[in-house]
Amino acid sequence: LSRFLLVDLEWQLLRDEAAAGTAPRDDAIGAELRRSLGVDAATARQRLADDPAFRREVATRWLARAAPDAATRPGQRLERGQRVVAWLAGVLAILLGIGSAKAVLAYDGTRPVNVFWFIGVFFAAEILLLALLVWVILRGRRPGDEGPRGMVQAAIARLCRARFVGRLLGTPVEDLQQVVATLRQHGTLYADLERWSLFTATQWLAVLFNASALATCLLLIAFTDIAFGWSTTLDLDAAQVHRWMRILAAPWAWLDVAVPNLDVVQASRYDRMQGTFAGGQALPDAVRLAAHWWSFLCAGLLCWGLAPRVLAWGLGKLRARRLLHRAPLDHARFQRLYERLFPIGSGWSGPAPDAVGALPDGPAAPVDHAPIRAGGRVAVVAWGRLGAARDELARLVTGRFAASPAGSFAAGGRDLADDDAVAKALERDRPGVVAVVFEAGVQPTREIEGFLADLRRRLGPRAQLVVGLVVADADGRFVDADPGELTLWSQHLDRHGDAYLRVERMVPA
Amino acid sequence: MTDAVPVFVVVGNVNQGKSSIVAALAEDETVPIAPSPGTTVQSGEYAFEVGGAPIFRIVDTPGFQEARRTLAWLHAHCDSVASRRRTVEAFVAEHAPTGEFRDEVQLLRPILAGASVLYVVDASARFQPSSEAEMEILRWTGQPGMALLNRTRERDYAAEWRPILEQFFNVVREFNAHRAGFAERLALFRGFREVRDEWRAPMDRAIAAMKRDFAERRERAAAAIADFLVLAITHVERRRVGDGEDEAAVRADLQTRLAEALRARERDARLEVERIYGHRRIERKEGQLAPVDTDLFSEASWRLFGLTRTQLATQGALFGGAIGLAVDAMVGGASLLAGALAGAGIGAVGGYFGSTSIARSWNQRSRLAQALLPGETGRFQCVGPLTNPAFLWILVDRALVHARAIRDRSHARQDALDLAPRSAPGGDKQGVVASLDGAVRQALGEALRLVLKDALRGTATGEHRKTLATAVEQALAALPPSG
Repeated sequence: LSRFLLVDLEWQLLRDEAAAGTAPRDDAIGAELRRSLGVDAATARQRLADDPAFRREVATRWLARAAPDAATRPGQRLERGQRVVAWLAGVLAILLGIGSAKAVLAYDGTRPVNVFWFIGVFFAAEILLLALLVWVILRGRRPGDEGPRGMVQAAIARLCRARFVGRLLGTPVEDLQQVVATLRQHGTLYADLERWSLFTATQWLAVLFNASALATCLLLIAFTDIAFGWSTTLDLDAAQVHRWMRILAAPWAWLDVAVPNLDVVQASRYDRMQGTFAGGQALPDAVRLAAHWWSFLCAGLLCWGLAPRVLAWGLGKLRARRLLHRAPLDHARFQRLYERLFPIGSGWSGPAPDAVGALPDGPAAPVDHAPIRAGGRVAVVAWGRLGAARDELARLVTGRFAASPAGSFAAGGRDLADDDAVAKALERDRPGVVAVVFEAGVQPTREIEGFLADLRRRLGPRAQLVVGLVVADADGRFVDADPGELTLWSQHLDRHGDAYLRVERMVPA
Repeated sequence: MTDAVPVFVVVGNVNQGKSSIVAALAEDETVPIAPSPGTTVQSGEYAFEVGGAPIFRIVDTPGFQEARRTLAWLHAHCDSVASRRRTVEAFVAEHAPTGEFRDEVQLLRPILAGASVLYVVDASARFQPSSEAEMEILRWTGQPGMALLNRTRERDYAAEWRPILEQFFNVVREFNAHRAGFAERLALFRGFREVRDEWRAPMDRAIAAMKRDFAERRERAAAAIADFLVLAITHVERRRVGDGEDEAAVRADLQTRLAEALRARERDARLEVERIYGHRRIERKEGQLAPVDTDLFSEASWRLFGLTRTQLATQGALFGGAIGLAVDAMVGGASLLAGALAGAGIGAVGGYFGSTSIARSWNQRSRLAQALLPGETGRFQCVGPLTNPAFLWILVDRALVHARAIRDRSHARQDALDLAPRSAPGGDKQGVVASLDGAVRQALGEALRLVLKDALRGTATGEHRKTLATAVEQALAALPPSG
């Protein structure tokens, strides 16, 4: 996660608030995330609540799918913009460093360089700033205190109103304004991150300033002759100045060559009225002794200027990275996103259709049924509750087939033994046609198919078996079941491929 | 199983509509359903989950194939009333490895594990001795149950069935799987609470979750419709006009493109609503729907959907006023609200007498160009946004009619979705917006006006989309179940 990715996330969330059709997109992304992360919705929600790293993972993956083209997001452009600004500021810092060093070491050969100026610019100011820095760090952020972050944000907000900025970043100004507004809204969330990012940036500029100043000093000392001295109006003697210098040089006291001794301090006092060193030394000796100042000044610049800045920069970078790593990504818009990705809602889950069912491929191949021989004998088997009306049905069926009656039977009742008895009776009697009549609504179960199979076995392969479906109408007269039911039975029984088993209407036309 | 998650096993003779009931209850149109018997060959478990945790389960089973033989076996192997359940267990244990009585073994297994029974009968068929055998077998298991009277045909023997079923089951309910809407499903789930006391709490939880889910779906469907309406209203078709090109021909081309774009957006919105309500298979029937589902731009759509003339005249005045206000705003108020007044007048007249022009045509010289396409240079021609209030109401009406049909459609249904308005003498409106409660219609109209104003200013805001979504949700909530 980078700061710019964070901007992209906020920007995309903001766009989604106003955009249409984000729910199905996030629904699909959520399903994909569940698969790729190997979690179910409940687990994902639990981890999102407990684990910032998981939130980061989910948010970045979501962004990559919701807005796959990074070039269309403002983050990349902002990063590029920040890089340009950082370069310009860096160049400026280097120029300032060079300029400052050249200014305080300006020597025209008439008067020595006053080391107090150097110490003032490069030691005192740096120590003061360092103290300020430590104070800022230790003080932390007080609630409601925006400090420099507020000013920078306000400046950015003002900048974002300028059309040219939008053109420069290739993003509508309104979008930028919204992102800035969002960041300000969530100031408490991102304040520390911004503070430390700003801190790191300023320390980097200070590093460049000090490094360029130190390099300039070394170059000037190496390639030009510079005479050092010190002057003061105050009632200070060399011993007192030497004491102060020793305090300043305390961090590198072990490096004798970079700590001015009393002789050097005494010899390098300069009297501007006399236009000469006031230490009582011959001029060449005084100049030689005063030259010792350079190592002290460079060591001081390194120790009080450059080193703390490098340390502060490193600390800031580390802190900003840690804060970024710990970015909560859990404010209201993120919560709404997580709810869209991993909905809390309820729902049904079930097996795949082919795991439970076997939808028929289509009707079975039509069977070429043998015609019913007219004039033969017809036996009627009334199934189930129709058993009570078997004689009436027998009259109906013999009329339907213009046949002579061969008896009527009841099967499919409570007692299975009755079915067996009917089959045996028919086996003995051998009528030409056996009509098995069911009540409409009865289904061709395995039990019924078993009875028909038993009849076939007993009556032989060419015995005519006819199945009918009837229902009593409002007047109590039997009528055929509707054609749909007859077709259904016909298709079901045709699966057996029995040419002498057919479904027929039972009521004469 | 009895302690943790309630389980209900749907049993009965083959082809009684068991799978249709499961499809309707579990809102799962993928449950295999066919008119032929024996479609379900394996038991399937459907779990209702809240936050990923199952609250209760429904098990679909293949159904009884040999109930009388099964009962005969049980009678033959049982020596006392006290050992009936053990005999059923012995039946399952003996036949499970052999494959004999395969379907009976499958349906008895979860019941013996503690599930309650949902015994389904087709009330369009009469009671048979095999049904008695089925109920007797279930009684031998000792598990409580509920009987459901389903009807697959017009015949109705429910009155004959009821006293018989009441002898065997604690609760008897009628349930038409093909016509069951949310209210009917919920009523049945409430009935589940009566089957077993200890399952009341989880069923209450499930019912509460279902209600929440239903409200959420309505909200999401309303958001999808609002998204569609905003996209449709704000849609602008634009084309550069080449040298010597006829502007009238370009306008005609743009009108065609606008119509196509609106059709596509409407189709997308419908698919989204169907997806929200778990009807994913209706999409493949869209082609078949073409002859019956009236096209958005057909004469019938204009005649049968939307508002009545009087309602339109009122709405037209308000819409015209909104458009006029937008014009006033563009000229910085220099028109002294003349635009608003003129717009209201024109809108009212246009609304009453009707206009079939759905959107405004304009070019680079129009004030709309400054608002919608700032910085755009050269010759171009545009059509849009949609400014015809009658047409906006047609869009709303069609969307609501579709959403209601989908909301109330049982997942057991496999027929094509029929949204064709019934032609009525005198051109009576057959949609829903004309008969909406006045306050609901007013809220819808107000939200549409705000979106239109945004569209004319080129400042579409999420806030007005939300207002429209809220108004659509209110309208959806106010719609009674479709007959």
